[in-house]
Amino acid sequence: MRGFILARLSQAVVVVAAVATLTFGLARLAPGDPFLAFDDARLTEQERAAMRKDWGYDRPIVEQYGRWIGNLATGDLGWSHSRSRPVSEVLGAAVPNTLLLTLPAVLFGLLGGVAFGTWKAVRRGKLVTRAADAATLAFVSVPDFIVAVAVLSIVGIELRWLPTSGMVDVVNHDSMSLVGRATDVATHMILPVSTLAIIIAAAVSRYHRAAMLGVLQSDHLRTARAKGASERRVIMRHALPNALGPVIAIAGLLAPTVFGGAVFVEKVFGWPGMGLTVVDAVTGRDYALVQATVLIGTVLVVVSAIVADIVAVMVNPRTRIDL
Amino acid sequence: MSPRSRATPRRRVATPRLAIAALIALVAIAAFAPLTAPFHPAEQPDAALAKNLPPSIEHPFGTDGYSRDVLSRVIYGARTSLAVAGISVLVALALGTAVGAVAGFAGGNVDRWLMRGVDAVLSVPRLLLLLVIAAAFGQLSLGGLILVLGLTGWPAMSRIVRAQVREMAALDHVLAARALGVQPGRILARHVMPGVWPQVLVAATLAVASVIPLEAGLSFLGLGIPAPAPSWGNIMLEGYEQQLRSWWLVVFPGIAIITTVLAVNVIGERLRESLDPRLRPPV
Amino acid sequence: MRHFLTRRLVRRTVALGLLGLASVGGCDTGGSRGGTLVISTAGDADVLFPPTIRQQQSVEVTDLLFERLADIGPDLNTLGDAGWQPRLAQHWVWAADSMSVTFHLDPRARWHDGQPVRASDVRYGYSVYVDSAVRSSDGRDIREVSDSLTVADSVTCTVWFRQRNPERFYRIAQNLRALPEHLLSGIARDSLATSGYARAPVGNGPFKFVRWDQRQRIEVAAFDGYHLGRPSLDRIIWTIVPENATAVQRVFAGEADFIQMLAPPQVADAWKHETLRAVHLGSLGYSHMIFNLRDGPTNRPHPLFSNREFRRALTMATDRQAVMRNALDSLGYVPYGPFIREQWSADTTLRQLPLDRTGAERILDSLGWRKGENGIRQRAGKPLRISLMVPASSAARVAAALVVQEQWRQIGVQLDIDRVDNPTFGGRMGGRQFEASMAGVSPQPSPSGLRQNWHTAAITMSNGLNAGSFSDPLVDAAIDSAVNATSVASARAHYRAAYQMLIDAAPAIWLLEPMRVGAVSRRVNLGTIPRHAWWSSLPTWSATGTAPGRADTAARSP
Repeated sequence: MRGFILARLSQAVVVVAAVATLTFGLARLAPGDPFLAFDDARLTEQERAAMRKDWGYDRPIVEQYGRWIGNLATGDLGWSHSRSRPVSEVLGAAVPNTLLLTLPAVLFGLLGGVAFGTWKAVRRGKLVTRAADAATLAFVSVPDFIVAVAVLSIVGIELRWLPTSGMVDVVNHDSMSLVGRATDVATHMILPVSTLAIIIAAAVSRYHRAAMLGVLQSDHLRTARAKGASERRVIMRHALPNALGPVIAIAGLLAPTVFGGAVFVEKVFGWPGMGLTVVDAVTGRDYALVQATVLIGTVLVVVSAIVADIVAVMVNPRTRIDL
Repeated sequence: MSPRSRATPRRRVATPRLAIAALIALVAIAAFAPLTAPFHPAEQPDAALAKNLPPSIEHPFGTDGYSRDVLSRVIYGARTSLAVAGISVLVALALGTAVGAVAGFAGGNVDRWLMRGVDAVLSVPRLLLLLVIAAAFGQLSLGGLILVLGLTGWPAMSRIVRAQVREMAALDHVLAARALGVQPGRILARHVMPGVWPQVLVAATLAVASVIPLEAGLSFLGLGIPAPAPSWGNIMLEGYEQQLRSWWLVVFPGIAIITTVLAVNVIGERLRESLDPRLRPPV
Repeated sequence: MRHFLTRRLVRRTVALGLLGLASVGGCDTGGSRGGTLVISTAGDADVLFPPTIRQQQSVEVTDLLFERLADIGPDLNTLGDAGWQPRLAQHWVWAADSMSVTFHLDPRARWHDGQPVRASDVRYGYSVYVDSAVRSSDGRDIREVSDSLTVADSVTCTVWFRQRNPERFYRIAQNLRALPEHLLSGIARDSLATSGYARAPVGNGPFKFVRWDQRQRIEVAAFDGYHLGRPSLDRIIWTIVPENATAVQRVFAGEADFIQMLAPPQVADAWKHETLRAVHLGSLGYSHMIFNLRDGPTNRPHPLFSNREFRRALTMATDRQAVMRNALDSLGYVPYGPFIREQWSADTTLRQLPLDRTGAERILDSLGWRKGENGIRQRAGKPLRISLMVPASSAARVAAALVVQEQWRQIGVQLDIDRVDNPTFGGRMGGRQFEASMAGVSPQPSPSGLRQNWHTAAITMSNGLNAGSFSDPLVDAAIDSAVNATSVASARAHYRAAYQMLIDAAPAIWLLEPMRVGAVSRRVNLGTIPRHAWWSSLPTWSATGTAPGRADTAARSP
């Protein structure tokens, strides 16, 4: 187990380094630079050139890369020009917000997806489950942004049950008690988190259904049944744990999907997380911020894949890990 | 390779038939857009008085903010969206098959390093990568977009191909051919790939189903197909920017996207089930 | 046609009438003191440090946090000091030779930390603005007209001018702000803009900084010690969402009180809304389609646009009314020329090029551009194609471009629309890498920006924006005379001459002059809104009832 974790970690470091270099290269291919994105007609070419020089954007690309890596090593992520503050401060605010959005969504999405998938597998062939299968397939065919816009316009705007954007009630939040503030944030979380959770649950339920079907027809389940265990016990004690391993491993691979969904959810619900940050940074040619966001996004994805692998092995030691 | 070659129950064939019919109809309408669309997609009959009209006999899908006919734009948009999806998946397929086949067949260090590279690319959320590339090239042209979608799509494809190639390569007759010193390329082409193609076909179908929403999503973020060329994503973006006031701008292209993706998904799903008997429900 | 015109006129009149009503109805109905105003916006600030501000959102906030020495009058006069209102300065005295002016600061003025605002703070501010390491655009304007600022005593300072520019008072009073020397003197000048102060400033204006959560909210509160009297609002909160559509939606949903910009159909909705009304907030600037008279890559004269007749033909083929109507509906005008109606130099009697499609076709025919089979004109086998760069983020300009595209198609000119994002747009404008560009101009109250945009010297000068490389000695002479004229009448006459020559030479087609119409909750009373900067009246706004918020929203929903 320890060897496995170490191997995965060293692999992860290589991956992250490669991604860092790739992103750096891509960001620098961009026409324009952070200073061209400044919305100030009075700023002249000469002044922009002077700023480029101030910040070293006129240096050879290799030198810029070296400096960036050197600064990274000391924990300095650079300066965000579109936000006029250190990148670490921008991401220090955005990363926790994204985790606050995605972690509950992944949790609820997994639970819901596993429950739904189990039900669909166990009751397969019945009219309801066939309808549910079709509905799931139809749902995963809907682009994430349409889901988000639909939830927003139906629940948020038409029914006005819940706040539609932002993280807090900007007027009253500061004057609330601790409990009040927590409730405030939780209320604002409901729409974006459930949107993302539904998207995740639909995907998970399909994988899980497939895994369950495989397990349900396996020999050792037949043995269990033959021993006279109740069907409920067979499913809960024998089938589910076996099917869960692959599902958790797949959940790790779902991390990029979750992140992609989060970009749209954050944009539509005005949730100030990494998705919004990266879209902003990209349109503002904010190199340092683009690089750092992609880097941290990648680290999060890699780490969640490792965590998922480890959990999968712990849930079901027979899960084959193919390095 | 036909999904019906392995006898599947009658009732289940009905669904893919509908999906296939829908898809063929859609492709035909898109391919013959100049004949099927009532208007030219850029034509503005009256930019001041005929804009944002709700659906009517003359404009079944209504008009947009420039008085352009939405039905015609959805039809021409189908051309763009389907072409982008189709060609970019072909690009991904070619690259993914090449890398996957080499890795799976060669094994050893070649396999290890190639797959490590694939893992690296797979660790970056595809949307994130696309955003960075879209920024790097300013506004992507149609060709650029296809290329970028293809270049970010192959790693997933190569994993599937590799797994399948390894499975096939372990079969007795392949091992025998190797032992007999048959050229590797020949073994690959003759004995391995024929067993791999069905899976690749399934993967490609499902890839099409994931690229269409991705392209629409990029257009929704303003980074996809550049206007005024119509695509389903950017027609919807216009509707969203109008605060969903002209619902027909969102609903009709939305239905088009969902129908297409659903049809492709259904076909892909049935193909997969026909290859994997475990997934078939008991009859 | 007649019927059509009438309908349009009626619509226009109704819209204007309603707007007029709003600004009258908005005038002080005796709102009580206190309350919170929630402004919904789609843009965040960049820094809150006056010398290096780039984003509009920052301007709105810092204008409330930092006071000017004096403020421009309601007539937006920029020549001399006529009409200027005391702010940080109680009054000012010109030297006999008018080459210096001495400001007497209001002794009651205080920084938000309670320290008095001293003349040395003005001097410190001056030294920061003019320091080239600070990279302040405002500082450039200050440097251009003045040599130095000296201090006589703690409330008296003198600005020494270097030239007899008729707008020298405007340049100083508009751009210069005092900065708190006691807080900043320990920080190197070139790192002021990146210091913590730039994100949480201590100012001297009617409102003081409270908090700023990036991409979420900015909050300011009334400053009790403000020397011209505490503003009536207790707090102003800008709530920031990523998109315009969402920002507008928040106001309509009662989650915010005010938004400064609505699209035309939203204005109608605002009128139907039970708790909102639409308000006219002055003009924004104008948009024009500018032609590059030089060929980008080679810098030789452009094969098409260097020809005056060709440019005039394109203008004559453009139905500017139709373009404007599609882009702005009834919320804008067709500009008369390179200026906006709010500027004092505006002239509505200028001779316009006629809308004359046949005339335009005749010119194109005579230039050898013959209609080909596909309806596109050709000359020597080359089709008549023009590439137009448009910033994708501006809905109005994209709309205008599409309408022009269709209009030109009818005379056989193919317009290819090249939508680009803002950084690309800025870069290609600066580098003159475009053929035609749908550019926006946001003029200052002063009309002297004309020089930056159209003077020959502006092609090469450091702050020149003459992106199309237009050059005409007669226009240059008229602009120089206008900028240096000391009387309003003479300046007006020279500006008029320059405008007319520009219209005739058609180096651009002036297409859109949008009106800014916002929505405000009926519980808010607006003061008199100045035409150039609506936000500067925020200290006179007041609000009754409860601010939007969760408790409130819950009570209202069924």
